Amino acid sequence: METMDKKGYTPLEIVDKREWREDFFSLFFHSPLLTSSLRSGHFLMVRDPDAPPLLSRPFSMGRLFHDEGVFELFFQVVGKGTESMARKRVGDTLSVLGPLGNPFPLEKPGRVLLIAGGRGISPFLSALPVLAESKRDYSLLYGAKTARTLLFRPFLADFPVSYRTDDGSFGQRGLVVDGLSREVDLVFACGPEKMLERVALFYKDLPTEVYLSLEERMGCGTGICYGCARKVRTDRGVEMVRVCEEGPVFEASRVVWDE
Amino acid sequence: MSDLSFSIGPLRFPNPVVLASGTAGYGYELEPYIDLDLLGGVITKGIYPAPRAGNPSPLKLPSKTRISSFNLSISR
Repeated sequence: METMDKKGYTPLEIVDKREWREDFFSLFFHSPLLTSSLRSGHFLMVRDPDAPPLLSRPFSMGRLFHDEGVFELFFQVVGKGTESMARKRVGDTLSVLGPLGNPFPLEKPGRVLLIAGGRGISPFLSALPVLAESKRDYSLLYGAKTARTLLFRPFLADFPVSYRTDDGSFGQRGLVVDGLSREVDLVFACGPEKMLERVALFYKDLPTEVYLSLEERMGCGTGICYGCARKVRTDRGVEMVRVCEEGPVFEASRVVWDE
Repeated sequence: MSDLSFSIGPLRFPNPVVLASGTAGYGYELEPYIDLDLLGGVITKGIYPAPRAGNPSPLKLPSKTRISSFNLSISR
């Protein structure tokens, strides 16, 4: 029987692989237990036995295929760890720990705006079907540098999505932060730090509740190593907290941005 | 069962299995994973008499060697 909890990594076989453009890849794993327990905003620690780095890497999951018990790990090659992962083939194995962290509170009532920058689309690939199922007022604002890196468009065709590219090669020209709407109650955002900061600033004095998924380098992903701490406002003032345990999703009003 | 207890100065340890500094947080973080009562002890990360804010990111960086060092981030 498949078991998975915080106590150990589970080796999972790669059942499918997709190579996107510009060094983006998707690996697909069969795990009914993980697929049914993952929520948008959760992350997974992935250990590659063939990778030179000693430490595992945190990844958000992409699409969830509940009927098949398959989940997707979507990533961009940015270093030796992801280079090694990109060389994996169907049938190879990676060790996975999760679900970890706190997901987006999708269950909160109100009109929802999802904001994705670049590979920040990843957590929303599982959020969109959930929001569609709930018959709520929701939409996705998705931006990337060019049309070539604006991925998952066939999948996203089933959902209300506004696209933006830096060069205008698809959707509206400009940054996602130029297309923010005040007419929403909830905002969930994932993407580059500067984008998140501008989203937080835009809604700072509005009643909209804003939740951001922060990215931080991690060692363990489980709160033990304290390698992912960053400044956050708490009841006691500004403190360093662990993104893996207290996050990675934070209320925007709590996040302290670097000067 | 053999008595493996030992002392360092005034500290008495029930057995010599002591988790090294840095790998075990402050001890309590490992509670979901192992029975802490089975350990002889835990050596914590550096602590100060009064709370301190800790250091900002980046706290870990890639290294060409395989030696890693975690800067301390949160003080207790």
